[in-house]
Amino acid sequence: MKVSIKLVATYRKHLPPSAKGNVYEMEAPAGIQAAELLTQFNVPLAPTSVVLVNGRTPEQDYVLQEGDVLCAFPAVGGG
Amino acid sequence: MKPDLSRYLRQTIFPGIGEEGQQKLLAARVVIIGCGATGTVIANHLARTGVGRLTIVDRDFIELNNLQRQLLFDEQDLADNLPKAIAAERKLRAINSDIEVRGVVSDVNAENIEDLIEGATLVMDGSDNFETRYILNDACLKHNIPWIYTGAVSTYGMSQTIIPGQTACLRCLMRDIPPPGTTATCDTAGVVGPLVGAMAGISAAEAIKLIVGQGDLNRGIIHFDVWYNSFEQFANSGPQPDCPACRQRNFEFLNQEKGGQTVSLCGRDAVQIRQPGAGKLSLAQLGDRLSEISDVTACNDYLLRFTVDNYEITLFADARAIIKGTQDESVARGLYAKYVGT
Repeated sequence: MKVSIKLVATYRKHLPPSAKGNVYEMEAPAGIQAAELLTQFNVPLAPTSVVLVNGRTPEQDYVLQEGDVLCAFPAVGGG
Repeated sequence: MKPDLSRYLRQTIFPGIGEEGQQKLLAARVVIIGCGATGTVIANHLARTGVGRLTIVDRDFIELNNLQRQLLFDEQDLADNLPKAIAAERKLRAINSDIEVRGVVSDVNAENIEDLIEGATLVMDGSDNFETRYILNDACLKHNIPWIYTGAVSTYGMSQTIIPGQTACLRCLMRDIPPPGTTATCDTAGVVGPLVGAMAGISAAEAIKLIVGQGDLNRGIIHFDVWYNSFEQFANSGPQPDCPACRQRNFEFLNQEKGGQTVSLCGRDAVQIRQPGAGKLSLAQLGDRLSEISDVTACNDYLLRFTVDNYEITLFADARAIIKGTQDESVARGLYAKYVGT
């Protein structure tokens, strides 16, 4: 199952060198949850992070589907 | 005297605004919550663009390290020990005397937010902490007022235009406040000045579009990292079906079921303590007393500042204090109790 993981801002460092910019296309095992995949990349989960699948906030136990774009970035608190 | 609208000529020439849009801007009332880095840039834009009534609310005073990015302030403001809301009010009046500008020196909290935003066309987030934003989110949803989130830290920032009932709200996106110490702050990660201008500029443009009712609003999230030129725009997901705030209208932060009275401050080795219902303090009297046991460095109608045990304590007339030199909330509460009293 092909999915893309997009890591923004300080989370870029968690992407492998073969990533194109801030996006990494990969084969993910069927049935894997969004949170599980982020954990594999050492990305903190919500509420420390903003997590989106195809631009939308997923359910906590959302199972990734073919073609999904999983994105995460740190919650931006400063101002 | 009728205001001279020629000052707005360069934007009324633009068909998206025009004279009709300008009249809408002049009729608008915008409340800016927080007047630090993003807040000063937003306030500057909205005053120059002719938003008719601007209210700027801020709890803080000006420090030297603010001048790197907080564009309304200068060294004289620092020397005068001015609260940010007062310095901003003076600057904005000098920029545009045809509009009504009101600076309010106050902490924004669950007890006063509804009064502060009453009658607002739009509320702009210029704050530097999550708790204020969650309270703001609740209050704006409750009163059906749109608001615009602006966050900026290090080299990246985020803008989210929140229209009650139409777009996702803050709690749709981030259900709960990130635990203390888990996210970057201006203190731990720093902040690059031009990032502030970029993010606050995006949000100010959103405000103009929203008020004039033209252009494409950001109904999702804009995320920008100026260091990597990474510009991301996420589509509007709409209100989340299970959102406690915008769907269930359970305003946990406004109702004070969540959140606290003591907060660490972004970008500062400091803690704020507030005392709801404490009333107005006699700062001069307190200053006289404290001068016997500490080094009082400033005392005016707005604030009293003194240094003791290597901590700098700034006390405001509403009994709120900012205690610099610690991030430990219990230490801060102890100092407050010791020198100010509870």
